[in-house]
Amino acid sequence: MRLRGRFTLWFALAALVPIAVAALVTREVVARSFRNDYERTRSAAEAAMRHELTRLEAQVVTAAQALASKNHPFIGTVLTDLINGGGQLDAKGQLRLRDWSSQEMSGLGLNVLMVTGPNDRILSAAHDRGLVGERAVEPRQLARSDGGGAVYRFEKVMGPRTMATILVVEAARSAKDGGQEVHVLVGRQLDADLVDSVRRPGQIDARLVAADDGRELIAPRASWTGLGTPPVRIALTGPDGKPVAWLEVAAWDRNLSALLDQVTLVAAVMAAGAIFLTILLGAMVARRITRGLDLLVVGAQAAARGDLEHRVPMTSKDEVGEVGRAFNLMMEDLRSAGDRLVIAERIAAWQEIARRLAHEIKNPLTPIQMAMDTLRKVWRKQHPSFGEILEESTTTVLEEVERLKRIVSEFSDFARLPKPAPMPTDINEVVAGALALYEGATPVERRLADGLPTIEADKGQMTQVLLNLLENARDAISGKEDGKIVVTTRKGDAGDRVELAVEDNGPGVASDIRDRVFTPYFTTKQGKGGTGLGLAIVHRIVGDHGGRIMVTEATSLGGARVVVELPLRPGQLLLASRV
Amino acid sequence: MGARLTPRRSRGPLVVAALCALAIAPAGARGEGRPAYGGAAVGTLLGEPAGFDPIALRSHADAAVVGLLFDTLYEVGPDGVVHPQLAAALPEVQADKARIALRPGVRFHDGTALTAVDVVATLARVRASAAAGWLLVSVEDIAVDGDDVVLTLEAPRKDLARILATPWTAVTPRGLAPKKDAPIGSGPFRLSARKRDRLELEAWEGHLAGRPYLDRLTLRWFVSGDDEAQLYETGGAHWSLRGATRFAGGSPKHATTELESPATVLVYLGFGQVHADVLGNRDFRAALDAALARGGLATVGRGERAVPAIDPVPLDLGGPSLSAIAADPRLDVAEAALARAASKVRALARDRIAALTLEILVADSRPDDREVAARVVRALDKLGARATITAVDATELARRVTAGNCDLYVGHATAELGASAMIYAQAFAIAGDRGHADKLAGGAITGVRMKELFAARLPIIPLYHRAVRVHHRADLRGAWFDSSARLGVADLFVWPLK
Repeated sequence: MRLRGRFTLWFALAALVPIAVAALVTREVVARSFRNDYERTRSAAEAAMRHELTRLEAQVVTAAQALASKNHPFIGTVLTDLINGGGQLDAKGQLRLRDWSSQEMSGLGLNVLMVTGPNDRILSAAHDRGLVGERAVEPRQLARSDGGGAVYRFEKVMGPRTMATILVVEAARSAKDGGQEVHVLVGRQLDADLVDSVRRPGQIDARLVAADDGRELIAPRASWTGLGTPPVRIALTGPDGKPVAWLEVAAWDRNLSALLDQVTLVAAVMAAGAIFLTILLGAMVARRITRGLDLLVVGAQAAARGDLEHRVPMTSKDEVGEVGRAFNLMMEDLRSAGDRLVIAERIAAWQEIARRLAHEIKNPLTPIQMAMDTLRKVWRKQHPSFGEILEESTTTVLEEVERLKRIVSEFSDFARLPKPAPMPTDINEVVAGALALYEGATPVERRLADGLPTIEADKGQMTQVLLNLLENARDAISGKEDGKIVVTTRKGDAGDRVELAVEDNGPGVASDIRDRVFTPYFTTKQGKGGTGLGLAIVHRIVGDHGGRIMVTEATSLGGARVVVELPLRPGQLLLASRV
Repeated sequence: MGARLTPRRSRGPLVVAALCALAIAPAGARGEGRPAYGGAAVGTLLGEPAGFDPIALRSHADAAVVGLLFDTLYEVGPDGVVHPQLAAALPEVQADKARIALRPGVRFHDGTALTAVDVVATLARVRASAAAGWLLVSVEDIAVDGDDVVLTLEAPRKDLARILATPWTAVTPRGLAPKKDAPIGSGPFRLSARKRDRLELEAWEGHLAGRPYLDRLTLRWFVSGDDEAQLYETGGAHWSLRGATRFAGGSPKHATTELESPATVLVYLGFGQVHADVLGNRDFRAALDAALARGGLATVGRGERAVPAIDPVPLDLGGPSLSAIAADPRLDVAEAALARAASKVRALARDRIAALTLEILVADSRPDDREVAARVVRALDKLGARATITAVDATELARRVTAGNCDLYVGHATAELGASAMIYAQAFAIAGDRGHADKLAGGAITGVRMKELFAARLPIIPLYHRAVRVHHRADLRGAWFDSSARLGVADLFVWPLK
C-alpha cells in the first residue's frame, strides 16, 4: 500500500478507535443508569397503584360507615319511615329515598349506592333504579363479614342503553333502629381513571384483567408484547378472599432500548463522519507530505535516467523541503560533475574510441607496411620470386585495405547513426523480417508471444538490432554441432514494455565482462572478424528507443542471453541499461 | 275533554257550592271556583303525542290531545256516567237498530257544520281500521237517516254509548284523517301551533258546550323527568304530572293541590316483528314474563300510585291483584319456559342465547319508561340474552311499532271502556291480533276464558297500572280525571283571574 494510503488509514483508525470506545462506554453507562431508574420507576408505580387502591377502599369503607347510621339524616329517615310503615316504605318515603340516595351517591363520588331493608328487599339503588324491589343478599352478607373491609365485585349496572358489567370496590354496613334494620352498600367503580393515575406514556402502563378468564377489563394503552420484565400483579379479592381481578402494572425499558439504539446510531454516524473527515484530512495531510516525497521520487527517477537537469520544486520549510533542497543541490553538483564527467567521459570515450580506432586501423597498416617492405626488398634484390611475392603482397595489401575500409565504414555508420523514425511496429514482424535476412546456417527457434501490443519503433533499426544479435549468437555457437539459437518475444512483467531476447547455447559471456560488451570496439572475436561495434550500435539504437539491453545467462540453453526491453508508450524511458 | 252537564255559562250555583267543598274534596272530585273567561295556562302531558288521528292513538298523551281537539258522540263524566256530547241523546235501540240523533248547530274549527255524514264516515273509517275496528265489531252497518245516524247491530249492546265515547271514535270532517299539522275537529280547543316540545291551543269559540274558560292552553312534554317538576316548582307551569318539586322535600313557588286518577293506565311491553321467531314464541314470552321483577315497578314514577300487574285489567276495574310470589322473578318458571322455547327456536338454545340482542323502544318523552325498559333488560339478562334500549320520539315510536320494526317496546294503554272483555280485546288489538280482539269485543269469549286466553298467548306483557297524579296551582280550578285517567282540561279556569 502506498504511503498516502497508509497515512490515511492510520488517521482513520486513530479517530475511529477512540470514538468506538467512547460510544461503547457511553452506551454501557447509559444502560446501567437507565436500568436503575427503570427499577425505581417500576417500584414507584406499584406503590402508587397500591396506594390508590387503599385510598379507594378507605373511601368506600368510610362512606358506608358514615351512611349506615341511624343518626345520619338519610338512613335515619329511612329507618323512621320503615318503623312507621311497619317495615314498608310508602310512596312518599320511596320517592324521598330515591332522590336522596341519588344526591348522596353523587355527593360522595360513588358509583354504587344500594339500601336493602327487610327480607333483603332493595329499597333503593341509586346507580340502577331498575333494581328497586328485587332482592339482594350481598349488602347484608358483606356488612356482617369479618373485618368489614372493602371487597371487589362485578356488578351488572344499567348504562344509558344496555347493561354493563363493571368492577367495583364495595363496602357495606348495617344500621338499626326500632326493630328495623337496613343495610347500606356503597361502591366505587374501577375505571380508567384508576390506571391513568399511574400511567406514564412510554414508561408505565397498567391494565385490569378478570381473574376467571383473563379478559381485559381496562385495556393498556400500548401493546404489551415484547415486555422485558413481567408486570407486577396486584390481586383484587372478592368477598370469598379469592381474586376476582388482577391489576397489572408494567414498566417499559423501551426507552432504554430506543435510547441505546439512539446512542449506537449517533456513535455510528459520528464514526462514519469521523472516518470521512479523517480520510479527507488524512488524504490532504498525506498529500501535502507525500507530495514532497513524490517530487523527490520523480527527481530520483530523473537522476537515475541521467536527467541531471531535473530539479524538485520544493517550497515547504519542513524536513521534506530540506530534503528536496538538498536533493536539488546534489543534482546541481551531479550535473556539474556530470557535465564534467560527461565531458570527461565523452573525451575519455572518444579517446577510447580513437585509441581503439587507432588500434584497429593500425592492425591492417602493419601487414600493409610489411608487405611493402618485403616487396621493396625483393624488387631491390631482383628476387626471382618477385612475381609471386608481388602477387602475395598485393593480395595482402588489398585485403588489409578492405579491412581498413570496413573499419572506417563501420565507424562512420556508428558515428552517423541516425535518430530513429518511430512508427507503430509489431516486434514479431521485425523478428520475422530479420530472420528472413539472416544468413546463418543454424536454424533459429522462435518463441514469439501472440497478441503483443505494437511499439513505437524504427523498424529498420530494430531489424539491425536483431541481425546484430543473431550474428553474435551465430558467432558464439560456430563450430558447435548442436548449436542453438532461440529468439523470444513477450510482454514485460511490468506491463509497460515488450521484451525481445536472443539466446544461444554457446560459451556465454563471462560475468566480469558483461558490463563491457556494449562498449565500442569491445570484442571477444579478435582476429575473427569482429569490429567490436556491433553491440555498441545495438546499445545505441535501443537507447534511442528509450529501451534497455542487458546480457544474462541463458539459463535454459546455458549460453548467453541478450534481452532488449522496449517501452510500450512513446517517450517512456525504461531504466538505464545495465551496462 | 270535560264532562259538562250544562253549558259553562249556567254553572254559577254549582260553582259556589263547589267552592265550599274545595278544601275537603277527595281526589277525583271536580274542582270549582268562580270561573271567568280568559287567561292562559301551561300544562304538561304524559309524554309527547304521536299525532292527532283518533284512530291511530296509542298513548295517554294521544288520548288527552284528541279529547281536546275532537268530540265524540258521547262522553264519560267524572261520575263515570255516559252523557251525550255530539249526540243529542242516548242511542235509541230498537231491535237491531240503534238510532242516534245529533245535536244541531255543531261546527268544526273551520266553521263547517258537523253533520250525520261526518259521523257516519268517521264510524265507517273506525270500523274498517285495523287498529280500532274491533270496537265496532258488533256494528254491521252505519247509515245516515236525515240528521240521525243509524247503526245496524249484530246484537243489542248495552255499552254502545260507552264505545261511542272512546277517543278512537272522535268525529273528523268527512271521517278523514286529520292533517298532520292542522287538525280540524270540533273540540273545545283548536291547534294554533305545534312546536318541538309543546302544543299551543286556543279556545274554540264555537264549541257545542260554549268556549272553554281559558283563552290559550300550552301543553308541554319533557325528555328529562326532572325538568317538568322544576318548571312547575319555579312557577313556569300551572300543573305538573311529575311532582311539584324536582327534589323531594322542596317547596313549589305556588300553593299546590294534588289530584290523582285511578290507576288505569296500563304500561305494557309490546312485541315487534324483528326477531319474530323468538318473540313470537309463547314460551319465550312466558319466560320473559316470569323473569320480570314486577314488585319493584310499584316504585316507578314520582309517587303516583303504581300497581304491578300481570293482567291488562286494572285492579281498580276489577282486575286481579299481584301475588307476593309473582312480585319477584320466578326464575324456575322462566327457565322451564325458556327450555321449552329453545326446543322450538334454535336461537334460544343455551349455547346461542348469549348472542341474542333485542332492542327495546321507548318514548324519549316518557322517562319512566326508560326505567321500566331497564327492568326488562335485567329480566332478559336473567334469561341469558342481551338487550339495548333505544329512546325515540313519539312519532318514530308509533311508526316503528306500527310497522313492527322493533323487538320490544314500552307502551301505554288507557282503559277507556271499563269492561274486562274490551280491555282484553284492546290488548289483542294492540298486538295486531284482530281475530281474538274481535271475538273478545264481540262477546264470543267471556269469563275466565278471557284470562286464560290472555295468559296463554300474552299478546302484550302487562307491567303495571299507573295512576296519573297532577300537582296544580291552587289558582287553577276545574281539574278532574276521568276513569281512563285523562285530565279534564277543557273546564280549567284560573281564579282569581288577574
